[in-house]
Formats: sequence, C-alpha cells, structure tokens
Amino acid sequence: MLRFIVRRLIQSIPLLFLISAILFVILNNIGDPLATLGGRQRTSAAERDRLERQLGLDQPIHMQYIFWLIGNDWFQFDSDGDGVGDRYGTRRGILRGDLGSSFRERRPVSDVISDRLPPTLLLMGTAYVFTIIMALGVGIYSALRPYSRADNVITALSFILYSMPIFWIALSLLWIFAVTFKQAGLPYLPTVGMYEPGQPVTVAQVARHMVLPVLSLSLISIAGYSRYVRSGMLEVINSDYIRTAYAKGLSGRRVLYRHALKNASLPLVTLIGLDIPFLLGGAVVTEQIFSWPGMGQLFINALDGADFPVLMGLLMLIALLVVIFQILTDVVYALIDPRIRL
Amino acid sequence: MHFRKNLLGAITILMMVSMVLGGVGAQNTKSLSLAFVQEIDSLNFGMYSSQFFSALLTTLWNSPAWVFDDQLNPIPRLAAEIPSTDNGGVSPDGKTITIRLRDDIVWSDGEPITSADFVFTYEMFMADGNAVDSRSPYSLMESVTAPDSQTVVVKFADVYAPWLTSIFTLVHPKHILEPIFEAEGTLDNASYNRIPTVSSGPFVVSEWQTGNYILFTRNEAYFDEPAILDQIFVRFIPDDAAQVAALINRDVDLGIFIAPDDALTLQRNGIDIIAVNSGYNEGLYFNFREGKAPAIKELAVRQAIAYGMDRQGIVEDLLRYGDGPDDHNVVATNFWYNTPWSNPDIQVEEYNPDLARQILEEAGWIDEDGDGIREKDGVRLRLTWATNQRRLRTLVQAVGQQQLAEVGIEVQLVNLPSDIFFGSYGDGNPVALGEYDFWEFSTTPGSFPDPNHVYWTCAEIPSDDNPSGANDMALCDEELDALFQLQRTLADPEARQAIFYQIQQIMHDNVYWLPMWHDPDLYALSARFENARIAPIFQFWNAANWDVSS
Repeated sequence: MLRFIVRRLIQSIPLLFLISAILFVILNNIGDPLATLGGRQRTSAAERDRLERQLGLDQPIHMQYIFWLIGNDWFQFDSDGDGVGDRYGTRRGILRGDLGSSFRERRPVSDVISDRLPPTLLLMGTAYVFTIIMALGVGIYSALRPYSRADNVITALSFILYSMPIFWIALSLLWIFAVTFKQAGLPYLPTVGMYEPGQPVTVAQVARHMVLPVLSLSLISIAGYSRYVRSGMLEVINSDYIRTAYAKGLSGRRVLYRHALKNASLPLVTLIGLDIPFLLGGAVVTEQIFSWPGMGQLFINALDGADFPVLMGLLMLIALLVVIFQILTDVVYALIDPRIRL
Repeated sequence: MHFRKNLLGAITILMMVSMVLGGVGAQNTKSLSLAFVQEIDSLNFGMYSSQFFSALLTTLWNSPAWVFDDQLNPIPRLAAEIPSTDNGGVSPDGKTITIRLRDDIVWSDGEPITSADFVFTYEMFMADGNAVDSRSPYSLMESVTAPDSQTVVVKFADVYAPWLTSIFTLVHPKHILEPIFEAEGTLDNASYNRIPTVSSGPFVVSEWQTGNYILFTRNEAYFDEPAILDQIFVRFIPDDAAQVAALINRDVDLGIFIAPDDALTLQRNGIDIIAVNSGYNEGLYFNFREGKAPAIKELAVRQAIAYGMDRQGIVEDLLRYGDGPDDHNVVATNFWYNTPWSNPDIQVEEYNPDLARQILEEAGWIDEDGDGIREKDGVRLRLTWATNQRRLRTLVQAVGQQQLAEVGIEVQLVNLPSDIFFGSYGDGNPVALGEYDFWEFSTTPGSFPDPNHVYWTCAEIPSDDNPSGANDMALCDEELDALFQLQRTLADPEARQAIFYQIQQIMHDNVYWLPMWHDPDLYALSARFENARIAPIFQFWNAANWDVSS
C-alpha cells in the first residue's frame, strides 16, 4: 500500500504542474486587475503602464508563471519606467512556499487564505458531518421500508429539496428563523456573521450563528446523499451474504451496520472523497447570505477584482487536496472492500 | 428507531438551546454598527484602495486637510482655514496653494501633525517603490514643500481647478511610515495599510476580523471635540437581502446603497431612509463612433427618444422608496444636476409621444410597411440599448422599449455582466468598441463636488493607442471640447460656472447625453442612530458627533 501511495504521489507532481500552468493562463485572461484601480475614473494609460511595471504585469505570461513558480528575487524590474531594471523582486515563488501577494489586499496570499480557512473548515466540516449522519439515517430508514408511505414521503421531500436553489433555502431560513421569529416575539437566531462583534466569542454564540448556514448547506446534500445510501442499501440488502448472515443467527442491527452498510457505503465513500477537497473552497452562496467569513466569499471577492494570485492560491490548494483525497479514497476503498487490491 | 429518535432529539435540543441563547447582549458602551455590502481591501484609501467603502471610513480614522459637510461646505480639519485668493492661500495665477495648519493637531500617539507629514504623503504617492492605485492629482504637482512646520506649499504645473476636492484627502504619519519605507523601499506591504497604527481622526482602528468586522474605538488624543460614541463596528454583509434582514432585526444601525424596493420594506419596519446626493445621475449615452450606429447619430432620433420616454412616470413607478407622494427619485435635467454648477434654464423634455413621432417623420423616418416600426431609405429604425444586469435597469429598459415602440422605434435590449459593461476598450468592452447605439448607467463628475469631467473630451476617445480612454461615446465636438479644457484652467468659480452652463446647453440642445434620473445614495438608519448627517463626500464627516439614543 505504501508503494501505491508513493507511486500515486509521484505521478501527481507533473499533473499539478500541468494544472497550475493551465490555471495560470486561464486566470490571466479572465479580467483586468488594474481596471478598477482608478476609482470613479477609468485607470489612465499612464497609471496603467506604471502599475503594470510595478506589479510585474508587463512581463510576458511565461515569465509571470516562472515568477509564480520560483520567485522573482533574481530579476530586476524597471520601477521608474526608464527602460532599465532597477529593483529586484521580493517574491520567492510557490516552490519556496510563497504563494505571492494579493493585488487587492497587498499582503501575502498565504495570510489572506489562512484568515479565511478556519471559518470555512468549521462551517463546512460541521455541515458535512451533519449531512452524512442525516443522509445515513434517512437513507437506511427508507431502504428498510421500500415503497412504504414513509419512504414515498421521504422520496418526495428529497426531490423537492434537491430541486431547490440554495439561495432560496438560505433566504427563507433567514427570514423565518431570524426576522419573523423575532418580530413574533419568539426565540430567534442571528441574521448574519460568525459571532456578535463586541461580545465574548463563546462556543454557544458561534453555534447559534452556525445553525442557519449549516441547515442551508445540509438540506440539499442530505436529500442527494440519502438517495445514494437508500439505493446502495437496497442493492445489498437482498444479497446472498446478507441472507447467510441472518442464517448464522446474527442480530438484525449487526447484519445491517456490520455487513450491509459497509458495502452499501462504497458509492458514498467515493462521493465523500471527491467532495471533501471542495469543502475548502467554501460555500459561495451560503457564505454570502449569512456573511460567513470563509473561503467562498474570498473566492468571489478575488474573482471580482481579478486578483490572480489569490485565485491561483485557492485553486491550487483545491487541486492539491483533490489529488490527495483521491489517493485516500482508493486507500479507504481497499480497507472497506477486501476484494479491491491496490 | 432509537437512532432516529436520538438524532431528532439532538437536533431539537441544539435548535432550542441556540434559540434560547438568542437575543442581544446588554450594551455597556455607546456603540453603533454599520453594514457594508463590500469588505474593503485596505484602509489606506487613495494609495492602496479605490473602493467607495474604503473612502467612507477615512474620516473616522484620518483627518484630511479639510472635509465637506452635508451641504457641501468645506470645513477645515488639519488646515487652519480653507485656502482662497482672499486669504492668500491661492496665488493670483491659481497654480500655488498654501495650506496653513492648525497648531494643536496631533496623531493618536501624541506626536504633532506637521507639514512634514504632508510632504511625506506627497512623496509616498510619487515614489517608484510604491505601487499606489492612483497618483492623481499628485502627479500634476510640480512640488510640495514645507517652509515651516505649519505651512504646506503645493505648486501645480498648470492651474488645476479641482484641487479643493482632491488634494490631501488623507495625510500619513511620517514618523511611523518613513522607517518602513527606508527599510523595505516600499509601503506596499506595510501593515499600516490594513490596521493604521496611529490615527488623526476621532477614532482609532482597533481590530479587523477578516470577513467579519472592523472595530473603531474612540481616539482619546483627538485634537477636536472627542467622539461621543465609544466604538463603531463596521460589519461586512455582502448580501442585500441579508443586509435588509439585519437592519430590520436591529443588528446593524446603518445600511448603504439601499435599493428603492428594499427602502420601502425598511420604512414599513420603522427604519429611516435618507437620500444623499453624491453627484450621481443616471443617463443614456449615445454612440458617435465613426462607422457605427448611423441612426443614433441623427439628432432627430435622439430627440425622439427624449420625448418618447415617460421619464417622470418611470421614476414615480420604479424608483419609489417611500409611501409619500414625493418619495421617489426625480428626473435629472443635466449631468451636473443638483449641484451649484447646474444650469437652471435647462428643463426636462416633457413626455410627448406625438412630438416624438412628428420629429421622426420630419427627419424622413416613416413607417412604410405598416408594421409600427419606421424606416428610412429602406433601413429599419432598430436600436440597441445596453446596460448591466441590475434589476432596476432591466425594468426601465422594458418600459422604455415599449414606449419607444409606440413612436416607431424598435429597441433591442442588451444586458451585460458589470465587469464587461464597465470595462475599457482595451478590455474588449463592446460598449467602448461601439457595438451598441446607446447605453445606460449612473455616474458622477470625477472629482465631485468639483464639476470637472472628461467623458466628452476628444482626447479621451478610446482607441488602440488610448485603450483606457473614458469617452466611449467617441464624441468629438470641438466647441464642447474647448469648453471642457477651458473650465479646467479657470481659478475663478463664477467664470467656471458660466462655462459649465454653456457646456450643459450644448449637451442639451444636441442631446449628447439624456438624463434619466437623479440618483442619490439611499442610506437606512435605525431609529436609535442620532446626529447622522451623511454627506455626499466625506460621508462620515461628523462621526465624532454621532450618538445613540438609550
């Protein structure tokens, strides 16, 4: 297994280089980071020339990519516009652990991302765990009562929730549990933010602020995932080995959770393995609506301002995690199902 | 079954506990919360930020040479008086401005604010090591000198009429930043840009929780009357609907850029709405680019649009922000509407579809095939109307399209994403490339409340050689261009006003720009927010006087 992991990691290195090169070219063509720097007036040609020189945007794209990779502290830039290089760059490049500097915030991308990562991990992690627990519960319950009234109701609800846009769910929850409940004199939940500014940050306070965003994120996913669990369980529940397990006198609970669920969860493991890296990308809509200070908001802000260094940092982080979690998924597969050999 | 029960039980308990814990904690301090729909990139506006929301915050933590109050009167802050020709602050040739500083001004760390800070600020804007967002207007200066610690002398290469609204809107502490610049050769990465370590305003920046809020607390060393409030939270709430919910729930005390329909909802929930004139007017811009849009170049067609659209009806129906009869935007008369530079003789064309039809017929646009749309020389009168995807604009387009169809003009509507619509010729913006007949947006003179503007000047026509040019209309009227150039060099306000009256008359007579509505910014204020006198620029100029009712 160790050989498999090492081999896959080595294989992923050229893949990550290829991804970074493609992303770099695409991102450099999605917008103009200098377009809005003039404020109310469009950035003038003279200001644009100056900023391009100072930010290194006047260099050909392959040179910019090289700077992003290995840094520019070996290259002299022409900061005063006289055509002669006069200042060494200060970047060390991603291969030396420097993700560059944000055009918008003028601070290291690693700082920008690390500010946003913990809130996203907290929100998305909680929502994901909640989703999986609920999906397993609902899916198993449905599978054990196929085509019963309860199963039909769950199926209908799942399709309704799955069809709903997340902004609609989020805004509905916000208006019902935060605004309407308060106006009706009922206990209510906070509208926005991760905690109340100016008050001590407690677990209870953060938990209160998480209820609505977690529900918004989870409802659609529960609907989707529970269908996978249900169909997986239905497939295995009538298998010979399940019948054999019952014939051996094992308890229903043991058969269900030890034998059936283990095999039925294989598709879910694949989904989870593919989804987890994207959790770090945050939830754009939910974070916007509930003002959650996470990576989704950062992504939108960076996209709006064509802040390439931040976008590159975010997307490469996700790409790296996709590679890692695909390897982990294969490993978990082998652990769950002995028939699979790595 | 037990598992399900346990799970449901746990969820119910979580909900109940979290709800019971709900409610607003007791406030021991005088505090206000402001909602911003955009998180700012830097507090160092001008150098490292061009965002409106960053500009809003400047007067909380940094005192400029002077501010403008809510009536647009200049009020000295660091300066002892507003420079003028009468007090010798403006030289007879108008090129030299002498600013005399107060003798009691200090940074929050107790260091005196002197003319050296002004000179340092100028030098930092111009330093090659600093990738500042814009050097304007410092790049127009020949020199900034400090003959003594309380006198700043600014020399412009040429007369620069808008100096009063654009110089030293922020002044930076030399004693804090000079060592950083000397060590690093740049201020680009200085943490001061994000959390200024010293302040010259009524508040100091205490904390910036990324994505959450910025906390300002009272500057105990402030040289003017100390702030009444203990603290101000600026909360980032990027979603408009969430901002409305937070205002209704009294989680925040001020909301900015409120949409008219949201304003109605807020007013009905006891939130005050105030309209602040920041110089913005919505209007139609016409395409004069050579080889493009032949029909719209005809004055008759532009006049027919002016008479054929019921602008008064549009503002009454679509731009209503209150239940009162006058609680709606008004139709603007010109680009400088509601400023001292606005020509009072210019009136809005009344909605008169019959006159629109008559003008078109006299110009040879006749509906020959009886389909309701006019033709001339076999060419159908079909125009494209572009704007971004803002909901209000799409509604206005739909109404305008219907009304113009009634006078025989077929209009095709185009809605572009904002980043494309507001892009430049160099970005491939189809508007700047001349792909549409006319387009709609709202803007303000670039140095508002100064009237200077460059949109309709010949040198600003975008081209391959000038890809950032601002004159997307590609209009080059030599008489108009000369007047725009002339006003910029006049130090005498009355002479300048006369020039602007002429400019507006030419633009009106030729329908070079069609005003749609005056577009003030709508602010929402909670009932407990007292002494808020939001100004058009330096919006929070009187933040030291802000208070909360008990």
